Amino acid sequence: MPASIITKRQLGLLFITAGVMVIAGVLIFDLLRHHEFGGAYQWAAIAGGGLLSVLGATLLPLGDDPL
Amino acid sequence: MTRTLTRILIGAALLLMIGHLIVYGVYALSLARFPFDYDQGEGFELNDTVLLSQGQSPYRANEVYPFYASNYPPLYHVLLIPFVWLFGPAYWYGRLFGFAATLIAAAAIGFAVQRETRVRSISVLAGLAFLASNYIYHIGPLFRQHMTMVMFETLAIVVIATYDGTSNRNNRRKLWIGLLLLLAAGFTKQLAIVTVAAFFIFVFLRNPRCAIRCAIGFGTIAGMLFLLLNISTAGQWWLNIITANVNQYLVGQFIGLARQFFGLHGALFILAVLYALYELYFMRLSAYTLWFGLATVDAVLAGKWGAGDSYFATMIAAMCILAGVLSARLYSGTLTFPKNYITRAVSRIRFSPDLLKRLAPLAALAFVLYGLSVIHLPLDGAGFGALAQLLNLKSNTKFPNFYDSAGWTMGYATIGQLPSEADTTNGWRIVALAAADDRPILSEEAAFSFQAKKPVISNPTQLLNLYQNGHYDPAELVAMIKKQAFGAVIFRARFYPTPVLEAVDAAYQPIATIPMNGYDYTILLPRSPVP
Repeated sequence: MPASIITKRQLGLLFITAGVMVIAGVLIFDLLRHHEFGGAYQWAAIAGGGLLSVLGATLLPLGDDPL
Repeated sequence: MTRTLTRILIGAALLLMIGHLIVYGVYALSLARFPFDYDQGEGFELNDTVLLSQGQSPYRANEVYPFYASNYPPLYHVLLIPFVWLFGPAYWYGRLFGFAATLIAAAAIGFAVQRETRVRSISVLAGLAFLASNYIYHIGPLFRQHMTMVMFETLAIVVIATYDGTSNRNNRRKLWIGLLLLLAAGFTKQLAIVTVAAFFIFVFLRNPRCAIRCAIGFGTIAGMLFLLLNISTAGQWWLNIITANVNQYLVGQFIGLARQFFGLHGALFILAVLYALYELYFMRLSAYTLWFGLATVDAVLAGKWGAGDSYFATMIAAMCILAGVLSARLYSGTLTFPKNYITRAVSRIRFSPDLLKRLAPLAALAFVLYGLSVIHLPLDGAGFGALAQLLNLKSNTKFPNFYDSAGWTMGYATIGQLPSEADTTNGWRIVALAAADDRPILSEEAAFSFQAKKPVISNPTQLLNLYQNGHYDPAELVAMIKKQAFGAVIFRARFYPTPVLEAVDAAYQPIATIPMNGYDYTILLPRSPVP
């Protein structure tokens, strides 16, 4: 069987990167557009990004297990 | 003791699901007999089928008479062409086709669970759970392409799920069949794009080189078909299929639907998420988990104007498979936990098959809870009246004879009741008013044009979407309205561009309001003299 080139650690890194980008994107977009941060949707997006990053972090120890 | 309890709960869940199946069957047969639009837009899908059966394109310029274009790909309508040739324009075959598509999808779900687990009772339960959903019940037996797309999507994923990446005849056959089903899904409705993504990611994880080759081949064929359609329709394909579907996003609509979805499907959704997490930490990801994950993200599109509960249908199919597989594996004690940092951290708990089997009743209970959460029932006729009395169910919808546990939220279609004799009679009253004049009619639903043997003029929501996005100039239609070129105008929700509504109000006067299926249809005749 051909081995997967994607591992669980790599997926973890992808999730962490995506989560951080979501958080950074919301902050930057909101500050540039409104010059302040706030709002339920913004907080929800940040919480989602944080959750994705945490999920990614828990995958890192799984190492080279194939996805 | 645990096994007996699980069996009792599975039996109870099966009884509930069979009850839902009976309601679904009665609803489907009832709709098949109803000769008018039951859900707004059905008649336009029939019109697409009729146009294609006559060798005409449904992707045409909206700005010239008859101001009509389709906003869906053609496969569902193409499949129904023989019925138009045999029986003429009618709703029953498209509705029964949609109903059959849901039954096939349910059978595929059951088959998938059976193949993974060999626990027949839970496999049947998983398939029936799909049909029991209020959302599937709603849209299954309609003259709509959505459930045919879901059927093709489900079949494609079930076919590819056992692909292991090796290059042999069996795997090549799975790839070919899967790709054909994907192509069929995509050319039935654009929303299938998420299943295409899940399919290729899965193949990529098993055999990256093969996935890239297949993606290039698939992309080339799908792209060429797309291009061919766009060139042959002078760009109308792109305008009507893509541009017209870029609508305003309503966050409130999505939040309402998401809450409603979780209230109805939460028990099975939790099981599906647990199984997806199990695969993420202890196994390789299956095609079903990838599909479930992407379809869950895609369900966010339910907040688009004009979208709604049907956008959860693909995710519900994937959810039923995962919930079924987890329940069956708990029941048969075949969940395994390879050693990793998680099992080491909780090493004091032994993951023995016996311990996991003790959780099996909880999974079966989730199916019972789901069966109770999704109750939807006509309150009279065919024994339903007595059952409703027994369960003390009263109407909570706009229809006096229909109970729907879903309640209502923005984007949730207010349908599900059985059409009454009065609805049919009133439909014919509207047709009589529309047919009294030789001129064509401008109707918000196509059924009245079909039944009055008149051409179908305009696809209102399509015109409205394009107008709101600055891609439609209603001048020619407005000019015809001002000249009273239409013998009658029929409104249901006034989903036309504002200049069209203003022109109608100036040149036509309401002469009757007739209720049908819970909606008031306003019939307007030309004012005399022309203002």
